Amino acid sequence: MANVTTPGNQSILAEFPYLDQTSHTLINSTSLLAQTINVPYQTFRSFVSSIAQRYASVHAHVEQPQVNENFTTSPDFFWMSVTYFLSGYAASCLFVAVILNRLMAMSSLRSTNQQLKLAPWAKVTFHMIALLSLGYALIQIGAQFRFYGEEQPAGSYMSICYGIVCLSHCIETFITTTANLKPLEESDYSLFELSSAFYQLSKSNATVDSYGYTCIICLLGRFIIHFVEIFNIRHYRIIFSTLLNVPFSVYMIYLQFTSNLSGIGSFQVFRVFKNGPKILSTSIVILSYLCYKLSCLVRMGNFGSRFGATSRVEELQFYSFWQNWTTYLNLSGEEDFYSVALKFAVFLCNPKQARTNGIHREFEDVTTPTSLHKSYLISGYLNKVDAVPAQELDFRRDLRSTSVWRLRISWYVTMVKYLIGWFKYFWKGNKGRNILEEPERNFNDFVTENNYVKFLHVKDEKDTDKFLLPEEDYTEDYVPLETEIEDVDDELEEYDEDEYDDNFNDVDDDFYSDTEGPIHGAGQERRINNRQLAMAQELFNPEQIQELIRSPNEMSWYLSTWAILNYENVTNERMLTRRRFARNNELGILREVMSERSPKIHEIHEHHLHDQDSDDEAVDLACVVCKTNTRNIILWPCKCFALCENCRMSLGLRGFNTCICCRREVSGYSKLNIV
Amino acid sequence: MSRIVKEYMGLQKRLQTPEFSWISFLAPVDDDDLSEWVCRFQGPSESPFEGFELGLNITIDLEKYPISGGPRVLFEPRTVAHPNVKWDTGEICLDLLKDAWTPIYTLLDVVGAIRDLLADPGLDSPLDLDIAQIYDADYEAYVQIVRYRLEEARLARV
Repeated sequence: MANVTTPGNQSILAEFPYLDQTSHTLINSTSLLAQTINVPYQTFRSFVSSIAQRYASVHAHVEQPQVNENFTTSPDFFWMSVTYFLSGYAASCLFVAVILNRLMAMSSLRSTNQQLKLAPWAKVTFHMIALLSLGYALIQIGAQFRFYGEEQPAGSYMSICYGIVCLSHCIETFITTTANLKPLEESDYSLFELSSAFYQLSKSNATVDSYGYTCIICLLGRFIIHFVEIFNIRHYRIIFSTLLNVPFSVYMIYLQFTSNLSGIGSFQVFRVFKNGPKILSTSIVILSYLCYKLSCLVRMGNFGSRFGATSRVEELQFYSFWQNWTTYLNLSGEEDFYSVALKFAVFLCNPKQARTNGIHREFEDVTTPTSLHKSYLISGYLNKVDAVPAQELDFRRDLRSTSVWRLRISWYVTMVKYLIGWFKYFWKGNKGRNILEEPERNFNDFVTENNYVKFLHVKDEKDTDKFLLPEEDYTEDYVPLETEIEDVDDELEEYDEDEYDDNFNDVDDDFYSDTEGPIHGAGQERRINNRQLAMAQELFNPEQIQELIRSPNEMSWYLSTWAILNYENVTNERMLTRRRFARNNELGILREVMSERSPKIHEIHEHHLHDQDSDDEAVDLACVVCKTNTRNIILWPCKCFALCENCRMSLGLRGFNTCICCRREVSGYSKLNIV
Repeated sequence: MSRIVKEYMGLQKRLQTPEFSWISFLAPVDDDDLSEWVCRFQGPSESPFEGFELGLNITIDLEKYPISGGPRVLFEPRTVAHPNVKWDTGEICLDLLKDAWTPIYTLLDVVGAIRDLLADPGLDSPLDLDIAQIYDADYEAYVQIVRYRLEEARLARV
């Protein structure tokens, strides 16, 4: 540090002479402990003299004696600090602190059984006393600013002010503790801070400019507390506090920039010290919110949705935080603006937040590019296709033929819709929170209080999938209908699609006319259930089950049929064709194909094992890019299955738009769950 | 573990399979630095290059490989006379090394593609116009030139 003066440091020492404190030592340098004691001492001296020099230079430039009021490096400053502890301010601060402490202790000693309640008139009177005295101090501040009336000396005004604040503290604490509540506090102006600030300001003969604003904000803060207490609206305190603090902070900034003092030295230390954190944390919150909303806008836009699938806002890093920020902050409404803003900002800046919710946790291996490619926004590699890729059907047309204007117009439309939704959100409060609708209809939506009996649910079993209906009906009231069994064609799978459709339409008509009556009245769900069961009965007659056990190949066929029947049950469609099933259940089919293929792959591996080492085994299903992870991403519309999640991310962030395997344009991706 | 390390680890095993028996040598210059590679392989059969061993110098940008860019591959300078190879530098004109690169290719794929290029030159975008014209006009002469140059290089090396 300072005592190490190598030749290279000479120039630095010449420039900053205060760094060289080698001449000052506490004990003789020959002593054993010399180094241990002298080095910290010298470091401290360097620090102090650097600050001293800093302020000395400010004085030299600005020549504003006002700065002296708040921060001096002279011995007076030290003496002021010492004499503070002997002053009336410190004594009263201690005294009030003891009173407040006793009041709190009193409340804890009281029996909780006996609900002692202060009479309303007493409460109102006490608060009115506080309000009136605060009001007097507030009116007097106008006089201090020389708007009207008679000005008081700064010292006496500040002591009056301080006394009133103390009184307000005592009243508030007394009344809330008797009602077993927590007293409301101003976290930005504690009693101790106020006393020391007032003491310093009065000692340095401060002008009204330097203490006036502190007095106003502090008195108004107390005023709000008593106001909400008197009207029993504690939960709205944050609103009043915000209404007070935001304009005031803005005014402070305005004052700082328009004051005739220039340069950073002109900052009034106490003012900055009190308002800086407020302004900083508020701007952090506002900026973060703007960033989040912008990214929402981009996501809601047509970049991702040009082929029908919208990219999800839910995937945003801070989505859950912004949706539930009130619960994260644990707001009750009784806090003051300062503490809320600070807490909020800390939440947003906390790197732990980003790490636990963030992208880096999900994709540790992603090699993120130093700069984002400009086309990453429209990269299909970043567009998750959750729903059925409807574009699959009419994707035959060339992608480039989509006119730019159409895209642009629909982008504007989405944006306007989104803005309207946002506006509504603020208008109606929390009602508009779910702007995004779940596109899929759950079967559970059909269950109401009146018809739930018809859905035969399994007791004591937590049903994790969305089918409420069991696969078989064991209840007593179930009677399979003759007509159903007759009508349902027994060779479903043998028909061509069109034939199948026609045939089934006929069957349908017959079926519905036949079942007119009690069963029909019982509701559509029931009917489908019955039909499905009838089909199932037909498929699974006892002889066939015997067969099934004998031939495992047949088994898989029956199982797939069963899946189709099950699916029909869920979709509640009038008639299920193979095409419809495939269209609506694409992922399911993909999974099936994957699971069907996987044994074959294993066979291949076993085959390979004979002539090759086992290292090759992983290569087959490893992602083609990193050769490490297992593939689990399928790209639309080319259906190339070659990537892992990490590499998809890497490619997307680099703005890739074409499939790396077949070079077709990529509109989106789906993630497969390989079991 | 990066992709190139992964490739390197599986490489020697794959080189021993019959599929890649034509590659006699493919390894980094220095085991600690995987950005410089050397490859030696047999010229493709039924081409003028049959029976000769050719050398490649491969440079890999470890930061970019394989996602943003492929390897940079050069023939040993002044050995290969070919319409798509610059004689003086050994630069190769192959779309796979330039715009058509995608991360699914590996080093082996690249070497294989270069070998295919030797047997089947792309005359739409020649780097060496003279050789391309000779190839077009008089194939026998082209064969002789190629063989002469390769023989020359072989003698120079011995």
